[in-house]
Amino acid sequence: MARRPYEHSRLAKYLEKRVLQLRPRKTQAEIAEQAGFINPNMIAMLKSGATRLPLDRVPSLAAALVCDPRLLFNLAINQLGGDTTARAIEQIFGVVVTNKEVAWIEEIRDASGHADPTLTSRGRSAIRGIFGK
Amino acid sequence: MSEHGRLGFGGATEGMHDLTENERAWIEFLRLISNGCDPALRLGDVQLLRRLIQRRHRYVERHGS
Repeated sequence: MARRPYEHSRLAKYLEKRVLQLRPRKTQAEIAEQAGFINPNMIAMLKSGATRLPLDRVPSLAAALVCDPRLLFNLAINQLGGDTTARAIEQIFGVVVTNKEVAWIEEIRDASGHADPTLTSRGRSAIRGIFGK
Repeated sequence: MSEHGRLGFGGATEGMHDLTENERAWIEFLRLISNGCDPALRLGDVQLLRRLIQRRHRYVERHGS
């Protein structure tokens, strides 16, 4: 089995970036402690992809990272692999969206007069431009 | 409230929304392109979205979908 099975997960990438952003305010060990992890190396393990984030730790880690728990929840679900879990959650509860994603959706609805616009190739290019890709 | 007990924006189940297929496509593309970093909507993004969507709207009105 791979030593870092979650190395390429979106959660590992997000944590890497978020911990860097928080570095002036708190250390990795402090984030781990605030999130209720007994092992102070847990954040390093999550960042490297050596382990995955248990769902029951999502609220406390989101509080420690000062981020939207729905974002972290989606990233943790993504680590479970496949998309059957994500699909089951979606079927029962609907799509889990963050507050920031709600703002995007509301803007799209407002700008289109609730016409439910499709994402065209031109739209993809424009959004790529926003993120410099 | 919908027949499945879900609420719209700001309801008791805030964060879990019924999105259309098109809206899901927008969100999924946004997640992909931002590496799942949950980007905030800035003024420049709003302006770009409005230009894009309104141009598309005018095109559909003139030529159909």
